[in-house]
Amino acid sequence: MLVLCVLIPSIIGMGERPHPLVKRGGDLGGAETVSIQLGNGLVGVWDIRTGTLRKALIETADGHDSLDLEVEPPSWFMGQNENDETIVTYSWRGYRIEDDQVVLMHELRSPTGEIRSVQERPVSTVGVNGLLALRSTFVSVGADQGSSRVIKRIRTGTPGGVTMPIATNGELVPLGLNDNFLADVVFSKTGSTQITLSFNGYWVENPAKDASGSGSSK
Amino acid sequence: MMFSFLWIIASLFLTTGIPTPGITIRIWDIKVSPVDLPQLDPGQHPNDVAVVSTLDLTSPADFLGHEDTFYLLADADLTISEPGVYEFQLNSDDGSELWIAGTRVIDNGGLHSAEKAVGRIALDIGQHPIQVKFFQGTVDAVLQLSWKPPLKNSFVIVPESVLKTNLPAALPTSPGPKSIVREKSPRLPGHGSRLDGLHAGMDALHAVLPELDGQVTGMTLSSDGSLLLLSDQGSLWKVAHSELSHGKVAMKRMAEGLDDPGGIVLADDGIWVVQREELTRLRDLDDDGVIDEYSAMATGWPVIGHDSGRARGLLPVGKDFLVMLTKSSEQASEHRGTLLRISRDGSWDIVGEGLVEPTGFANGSGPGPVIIDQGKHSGIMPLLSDVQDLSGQGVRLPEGASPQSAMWLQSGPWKDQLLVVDAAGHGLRRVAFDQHDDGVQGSVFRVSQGLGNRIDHIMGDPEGNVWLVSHDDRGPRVSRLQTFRHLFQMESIEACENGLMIKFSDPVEPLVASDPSAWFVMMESMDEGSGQQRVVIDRATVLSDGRSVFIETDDLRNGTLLHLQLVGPWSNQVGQRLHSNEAWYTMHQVPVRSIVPDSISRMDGHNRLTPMQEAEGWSLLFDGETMDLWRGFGKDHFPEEWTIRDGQLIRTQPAGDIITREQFDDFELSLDWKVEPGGNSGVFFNVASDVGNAVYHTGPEMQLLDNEGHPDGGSPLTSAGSNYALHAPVWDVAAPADSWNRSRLVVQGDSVEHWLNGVLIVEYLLGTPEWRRRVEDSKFRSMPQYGSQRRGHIALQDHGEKVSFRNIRIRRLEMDALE
Repeated sequence: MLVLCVLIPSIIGMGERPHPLVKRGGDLGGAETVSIQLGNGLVGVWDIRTGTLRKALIETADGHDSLDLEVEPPSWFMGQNENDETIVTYSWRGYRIEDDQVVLMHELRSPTGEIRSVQERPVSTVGVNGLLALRSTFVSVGADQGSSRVIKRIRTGTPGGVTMPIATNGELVPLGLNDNFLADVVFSKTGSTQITLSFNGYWVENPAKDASGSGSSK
Repeated sequence: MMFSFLWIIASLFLTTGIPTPGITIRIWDIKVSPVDLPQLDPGQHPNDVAVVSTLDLTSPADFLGHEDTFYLLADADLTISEPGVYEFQLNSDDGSELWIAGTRVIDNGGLHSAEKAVGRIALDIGQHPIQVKFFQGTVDAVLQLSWKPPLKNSFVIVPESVLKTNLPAALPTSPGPKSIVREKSPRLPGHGSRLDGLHAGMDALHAVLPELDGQVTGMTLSSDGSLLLLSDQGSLWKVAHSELSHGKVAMKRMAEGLDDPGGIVLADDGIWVVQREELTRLRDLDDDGVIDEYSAMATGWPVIGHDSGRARGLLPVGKDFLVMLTKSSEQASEHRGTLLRISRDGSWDIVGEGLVEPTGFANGSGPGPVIIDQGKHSGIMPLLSDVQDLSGQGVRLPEGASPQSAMWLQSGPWKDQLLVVDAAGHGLRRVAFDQHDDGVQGSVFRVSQGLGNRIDHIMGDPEGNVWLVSHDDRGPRVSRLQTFRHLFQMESIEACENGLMIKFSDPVEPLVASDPSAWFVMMESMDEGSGQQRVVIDRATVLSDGRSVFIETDDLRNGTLLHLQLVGPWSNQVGQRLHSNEAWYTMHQVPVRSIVPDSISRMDGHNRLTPMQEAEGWSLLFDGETMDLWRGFGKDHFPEEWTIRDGQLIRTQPAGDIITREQFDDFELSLDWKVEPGGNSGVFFNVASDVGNAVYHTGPEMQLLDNEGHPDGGSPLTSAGSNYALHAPVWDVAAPADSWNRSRLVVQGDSVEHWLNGVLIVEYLLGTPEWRRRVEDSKFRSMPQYGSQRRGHIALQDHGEKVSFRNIRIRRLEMDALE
C-alpha cells in the first residue's frame, strides 16, 4: 500500500499559532520542496526542481496520510504543434499570496530561448463523486505568449496503482505505456487551464467537510 | 605454580595487612597552610605512617614530629557490638572531618583553633570503615575523636578496643614536601579571566522579544528605522523600538515559512533573504506590513541532510550577492564549505573555499567583506579577493570562543575594527586587523560581558548605536548599546619581523611599559597538540607618541597564536588601570617588515619623585643608591648583604630583615617588587623594634610572593598581596616571577588597605573581634604583641629568596585627608 502514515510536526498540529500557509523546505519534502496548506486538511508538496506535485498529504486522526505523486523529469514541454513536444528547462520562481491564495510561479525556457512564465493556483476542492480534490489553475503570463503550446506531465495514479480521476479543460493525453499512470496535459491555447486531481477511495472515508474554500488566511 | 601461590599470598598480605588494634595515621607534609581540608595531588606517598591506639593527638610527638602545615588521614574499622544511634565528636585544630562507611558524619572544617563538632549515625552490629581527615595550618595541632554510644551520657575517646586497622604496617613513605591541589583567589575579570558585567563605558537599553521564535540569523534596519529580525524558524519579524527606553518594543511577523534562513539584506527592490538553498526576494505588495511575494531568485546548490550545505550570510556585492555554505558534516559534497557568488539572474559560482561552519558576514560597511566562521578555526576572515582559500587568513578567536556575528565599527578610536559576538559565552570581543604584504591577520581584545547567556546577532546603525539580540533567563531580548566611553586599553597590535607594536588608548607610564618583564607573551603553534612557549622580549620601547610601545623579540614564528598579558602596575598617566590586560594575535605569517622605534624612554627614571608626587607629600625611602633611611632589624646598621644594583635594592644572600629608621603611623606606602621563581618576601608595618625577636612578632605583613612557584601560593590566605595568614586577596593580580609588581599599603588608624598592581585586594580593620578571631586561628595567636602597635617601622623581609625593590616611597596621611 502506498498510503503512508507520517508525522509532520512542523506544519500540522503543532504550535499555538496557525501554521504557515506556505513552508519552504522543512520536514515534508526536504530542502527542494515547498509545502502548501490547501485547506480541508490537505497539504500539497511541490518539487521546486521540477515544478510538479511531489505528494499530497491529508490529516488523519493518527497523524497524516501521504500519496506519492512524483513525476520524474522531464515534466514540462513546449511545442509548436501536435507532434512537437520539446523538453524545456524549468525554473522555480517562488510564490505569491493573493487574496489568501497561493500562486506558484514557474518559469519555462525552451532550447531556443523562449521564456514562458506560468502561474499555478492550487486549491482544495470537491472533485468527481464528491471526492476531496486538488485543483490547480494554470495561467501563462507575460506580454509575449509566443506561439508555443505548454504541456505538463502529471500523475493519474500513484506508482503503486492507486488511480485518481483527473478532470481538465485542457487536452488530456494519457501516456498509457505499461500502466505507468502518467498523462500529459496540453494547456489551453487561451485562458487558463485547470487540472483537478480527485483523491480516491482511501480518503473518501474522511470526506472534506467544506470543500468549497481554499487555504488558511494569510 | 608454587611461586605464583606464594606471590598471591604475599600480595594479599602487603595490600591488606594483618588486622591490628588501633588506627592507622598517614601524614603528608604539605608546606602550606590551606584554608580548608586540602586535596592531595595524586600518587604521593605520605611522609610518615604509624598505627596509634586512639585518635587523641595533642602534641607534635603524637603527630609523629610534625608541627605545622600537614595533612593527616586516619583509617580503621570500627567494631559495633550493640546496634543503635551513635554520637561522635571531633575536636580539632585546625579542620577535620569524620567519614563512616562513605558518609560524612562530622564536618569540622576550616582554619580554626580547637573546636568541637558533633554528628550522629545509626550503626548495626559489625565492622564499619571510618576515616578522619585532618589538616594543620600553624600553631597547636589537636585531633581527638570521641563517641557517645547509645544510652551513654558523655563523650569519651573512641577506645582502641573497637578500632582495628587493616592497612599494612609498612606502607610506603617518602620524604619531602607534598603537593596539594592549589587554591587560588580568582583572577581579576579581564586579567586572565572573562570580564564581569557590561563594559563600563556603555549604556544599554533592553526590551524582551516575547514572540521571537528561535535564533536570530540575520538582522538589518528597515527603511523606517525598525529592526528586521530573521529567525532560523523561518520567520521575519519587524520590531519597532520607539519605546525602548521604557523597555518595550512592538513586534510584527512579516513573513513565515522560510526554510532555515541565514541572511538578510534590505535593497531598493525588496528584502532579500537567503534560505537553506534559495535566494529569495520578499516584497510587501499591498503595503500591509506582511510579505506577499516570495520570489525565488536563485536556487539549486546542493544541500545534504539537515545541516550540511545550508546557506549562511548574505552580502551584496554590486548587483550580486555572496553566500556561504556550511560544512558541518563529512558527507561528500563539493559545494560544502564554499563561498558562492549569486547573480540576480539566478546563476551562481563558487568563488572561495575552506569554510567550515560559517555564520555570516560582518554587518555594516568597513574596509572589506569579512567572513565569520565558527568551525575548527573559529575565525574572522577578511575576503581579499574573489577566489581564494579562506582557511589561511584572518584572526582566530581564543579560549574556545565561537564567533557568531560581527559588525564594523565606523567611528571612534576603534574605527575599522570589528565587534564580534562569541557564542561560547565570552561576550563581545574586538578584532583589529593587521594587513601586510602577504595577507591579513590581527589581534583580539576583550570588550564586554553582561549581555545575556547567548548573543545571536549584532549590528550597528547610522547613529553609532550597537544593536544586538540575545537570550537570558527571561527569554530573547533586544538591546541597544550606546556611548563607548573612554577606558584605558590596548587598541591594536601590528606585527613585524623584529617584534610587535602595541598601540594604547592613552599614553602609558613609560617606566612600566618599557620594562620587558611587564610583557608576558606566550606563543603556541596553530597545530593542535603543541605546547606553549614563552616569547623572550629583548627590549620594550615607548614611542614618541607616548601611547605606542614596541616590544622587540626574535622569537616570532609563522603559524602561531600569541597570548599577550601585560603584568604588573599598568596604568595610564592618570592612574586608570587597563580594562583588560590581555590580547591575542594570530600570526599566520611574520610580516617581512621591521620597525626601528624612535625611543623616548629608557629604563632610567626610577627612584625619583615627579613634581606631582612631591606636591602630594611623597618622599623616597630609597633613592636607588643609598639606604641611609634603613637599618637591619635588631641592628643599628644596614646589612651589606642587601645590595644596591641598577637602582634596585636586592636581597641576594642571607641578610636578615630590614626596617626603616623612622616610624610611621598613618601613611601610604608604594613600592615595586619582584621575586625570583619560588620567591617569597613581605612588607611589614607597625613593627616595634624593641618587642619580640622578629618583625612579624608585631607587624602585620603584606605578602610578596611568586604565587605559581612557592608553596604559599597554594592558598589564597598566604598568596601575594594577602595579609599573611589572615586575609586573602579578593583577586589574584600578581605578576609572574621575575616581573615587577607594584604594591600599595594604606594604613590609617585601624584601617588597612592592600593594593596590588592598581587593584584593591585586601581591606581590614585592626583590633576588631573579627580580626582577633583570625589571629586566634593563625600562628600569630602565640605572639601576644602581633598587630598591637599603631605606629612603627616598615620592614622588608629576607625570607631566604632573591627579592628586588625599587621606587619605595611614602607619604604621611592626615586623619582627615582621606575621610
